[in-house]
Amino acid sequence: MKPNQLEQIIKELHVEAYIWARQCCNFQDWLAKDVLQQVYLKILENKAKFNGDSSLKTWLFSVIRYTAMENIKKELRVYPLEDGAEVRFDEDVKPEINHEKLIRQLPDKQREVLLLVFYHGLTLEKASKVMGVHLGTARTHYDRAKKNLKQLILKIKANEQSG
Amino acid sequence: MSSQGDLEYKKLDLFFSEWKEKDRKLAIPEFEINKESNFRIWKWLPLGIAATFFLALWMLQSDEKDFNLEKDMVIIQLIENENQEQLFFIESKSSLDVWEAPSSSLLTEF
Repeated sequence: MKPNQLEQIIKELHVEAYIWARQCCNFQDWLAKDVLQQVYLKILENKAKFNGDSSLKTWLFSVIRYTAMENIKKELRVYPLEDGAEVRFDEDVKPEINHEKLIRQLPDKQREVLLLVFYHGLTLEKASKVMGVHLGTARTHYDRAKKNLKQLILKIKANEQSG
Repeated sequence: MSSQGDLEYKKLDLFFSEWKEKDRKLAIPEFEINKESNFRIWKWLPLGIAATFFLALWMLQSDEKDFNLEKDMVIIQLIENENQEQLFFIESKSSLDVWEAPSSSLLTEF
């Protein structure tokens, strides 16, 4: 693919890319902007190469995820929840649904797979490629995530009715 | 997919649809690839060198003292040109550049 052609497609995916970068950066706008700029630079300098194994969106999303993780580890020292960690149900969840706050209560992998499938419309197979895990593992995270998010939503609904 | 699973899927889909709707109000930064971001510091290097050079030049020149005179002065010089002809140069000045010799003048010594 020619550089100009690649730049054009990336430009078309820019809004989705920014939203995904923001979701990977714990919803911090300044960090998302920085990460996205680093990603574009990596692509421009050929440090991240698209080899056509997957769709361009899948590839771009995986570069964003990797770059965001690098930045978070380096600068913020955020410790992700372990895979088998229990979901923490905040007692002070307000009746109005705060989507970002709610999704942050899920472990990293569960959050990622839900965002990729439901928010960004990727198939589970493509989501597993972005996350760099096997399809079976992605499916396990997906099932657990759905169950946990449903519980969180139900809890809010219960709060709404009682309040 | 079972009807229970369908319902579950629809609930989650609704949750994310609402979220996407909310995110439409997000301020998305302009698409720009900053090709020079890594070389920002090098861009200032020539400017820094030039500024240092001009500063040094200015400091050297400022050593020469320029005195304002109380009255205008007429300077008459007798200069010999390349044809061995002697010519008078007359000029009027209101200021005078003073050059001080590093050693004492012969006139004051003797």
